[in-house]
Amino acid sequence: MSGSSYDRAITVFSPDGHLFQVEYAQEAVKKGSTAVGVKGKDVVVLCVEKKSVPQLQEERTVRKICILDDHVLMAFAGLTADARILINRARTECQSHKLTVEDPVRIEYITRFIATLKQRYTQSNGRRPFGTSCLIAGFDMDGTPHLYLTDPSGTYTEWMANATGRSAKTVREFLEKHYSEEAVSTEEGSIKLVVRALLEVVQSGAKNVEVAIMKHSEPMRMLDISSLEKIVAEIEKEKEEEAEKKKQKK
Amino acid sequence: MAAAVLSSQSVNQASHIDALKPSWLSNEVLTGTSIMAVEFDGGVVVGADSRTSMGTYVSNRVTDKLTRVTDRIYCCRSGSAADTQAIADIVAAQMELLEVTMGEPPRVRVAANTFKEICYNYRDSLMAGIIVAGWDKAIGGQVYTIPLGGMIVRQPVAIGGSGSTYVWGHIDATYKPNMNKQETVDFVKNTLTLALTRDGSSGGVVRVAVITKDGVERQTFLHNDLPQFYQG
Repeated sequence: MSGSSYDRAITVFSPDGHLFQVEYAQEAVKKGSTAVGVKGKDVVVLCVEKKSVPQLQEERTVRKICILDDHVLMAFAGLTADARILINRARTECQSHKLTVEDPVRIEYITRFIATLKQRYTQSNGRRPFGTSCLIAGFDMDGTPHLYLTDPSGTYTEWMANATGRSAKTVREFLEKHYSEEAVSTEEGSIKLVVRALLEVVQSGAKNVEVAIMKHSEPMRMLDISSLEKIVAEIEKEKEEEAEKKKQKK
Repeated sequence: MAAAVLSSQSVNQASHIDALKPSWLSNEVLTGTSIMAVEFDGGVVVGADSRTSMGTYVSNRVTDKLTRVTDRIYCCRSGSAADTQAIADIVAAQMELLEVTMGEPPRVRVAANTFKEICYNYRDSLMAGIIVAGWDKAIGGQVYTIPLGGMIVRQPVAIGGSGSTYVWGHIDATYKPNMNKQETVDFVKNTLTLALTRDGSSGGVVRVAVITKDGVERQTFLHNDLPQFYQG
């Protein structure tokens, strides 16, 4: 897959049908810090791994969960600078849509917009694809929640729960095992599921994760450190109880 | 975004058919109007009449000329109804984009200057006299007036529209600084009543909005609840 003459210009297919630049972009995504999203019954939760910052760095300048509009959230994995461009374009599009048709964007619409933008960069000369995978979550006007994932190739898919970035596979497997409609029927259940999923691959501790919650017609809420610590403590206790039960069964 | 929406167009496309119709079918819709805004300690009070006219025909007698730009910034519109609606929609969209990117509500001065940019750069195609008023946490209550042509100036009291010509003397005689909220609302109500009683292009009800850090409080004074002045 690597180092052939077909990975130079993005517009060129390789003989076996690969667009190598797109695949390399997907590799860049796999190097980024993990982001997890869960769609609950009436809530959407996004959670990202908070990388430790150097001592002198201002922590708040690294924001990996952003609002696109007052009803749409986005988290991403991959190149932060690339994501910034996408976020700016998406924010402008949200307002432009509202100005022309007087309705807020549907989550599928804005996802399609971002995905179309990404695809354009896989088919033009002299430009490289965006090295980001975006988790887009929010509520349509009628109150239905949605969660979408886009990838550097420009495809987008809808999910009940998913993860992207480093160790996404492990997190996704955890979610496949533990996601159920009952588990996400409450806000608390959804938050716990997301944080537990991320803590599978991230060092345990409230200071290593950032959690954003959104409900229909309510602004985004970032969980403060004390609520996060409480949730992490509850998760730790549940994990210990499960381990105890397993030991006793044996 | 603004450029795409505001391409220049002539105001009236007259044709021979128009001569057969009553004039109010081809006249442009205007908000010949009385609007005003006053700063007080803690916020602003904005007020307007409610008449929209097409020539002599009153096409809307309960117009709401106090238009939301953001949660804490409103504008009073006078001149062409279409022009001012379009401008207000564009500025509201730009302010919402600013709020999302900056993470906090935009300042009143920012909104007022955004209005000014449009009103000045398209001055030959527009007929819009706008008063922008609101509250922000940096300075508090502010009123900015943007008359025809696109000048911008901050004033503690601003009046506009065709009805304003009748009340310049009244506000000069009656306005005093440091009024409280109720005194300011009464000042606005009395001034607008005087203006709309004398101006043929103003009338209907008096709409008032009080904007403070806690939000917007809207009031409507129906015509028979307005104060009575000398009727002669």
